[in-house]
Amino acid sequence: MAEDRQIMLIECAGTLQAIRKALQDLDATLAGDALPEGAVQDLGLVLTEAMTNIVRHGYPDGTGTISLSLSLTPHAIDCKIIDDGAAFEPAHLGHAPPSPMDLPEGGFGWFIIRQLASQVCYRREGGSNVLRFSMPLRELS
Amino acid sequence: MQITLGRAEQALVIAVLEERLDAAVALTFKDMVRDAIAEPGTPVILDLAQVRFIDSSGLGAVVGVMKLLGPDRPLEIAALSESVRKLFRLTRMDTVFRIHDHAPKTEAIRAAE
Repeated sequence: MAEDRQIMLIECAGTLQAIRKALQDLDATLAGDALPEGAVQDLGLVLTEAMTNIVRHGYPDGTGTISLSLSLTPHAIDCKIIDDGAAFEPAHLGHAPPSPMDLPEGGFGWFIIRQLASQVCYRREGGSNVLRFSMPLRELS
Repeated sequence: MQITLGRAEQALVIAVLEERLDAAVALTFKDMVRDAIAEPGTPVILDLAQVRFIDSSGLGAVVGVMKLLGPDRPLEIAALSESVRKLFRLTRMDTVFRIHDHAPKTEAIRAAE
């Protein structure tokens, strides 16, 4: 039985301004899709954190491209983000949050990704970083 | 980005008129608020009623403002949307800030952009 699946492909430059624009546009597109509002908000936050990390750590000189593919099924939004920046290793990142009492100004990105996304998987494939994860489609309480 | 400054009794109220407080605007936001807090008033209340989205960089900038203010001038947060409130809860930063459901009524001081 074929699953109802809708694919979206988005390419954007590896800059913070380009990510902002791309994700604002995505938000507007998904707003018409009858998806649970909480899930769309979580997706926007996880994509922002993951793509911001790519710009900051993968493309420090401000040149490069980020490719995003979203696959919408009735149960989840499966995401794949590809960039050609420097390799990285997120396995040890984000398993515990920074302590609020330290008044942290950063270091939340991977924690947020791991809290909200499932099946987070990073691989270096050829010269590219490939990050996959899935956002469950349920109305969050 | 635009912010407006207002006064509510002793408090300085800074309203952020920006839907998306993300990494692309976090530094601008912090610089603008740094200028704004030269205006007297305590506590400083950040009115986020217009903000629909904050990422960890935006959150970091808010924490940075708190540090700029120092221990004698608390930073409080008001009027969080559901998704922004969720970010504060997820990162446990809701334990650091006093959070108001609504911003107080203010006498306008000025706008900045």
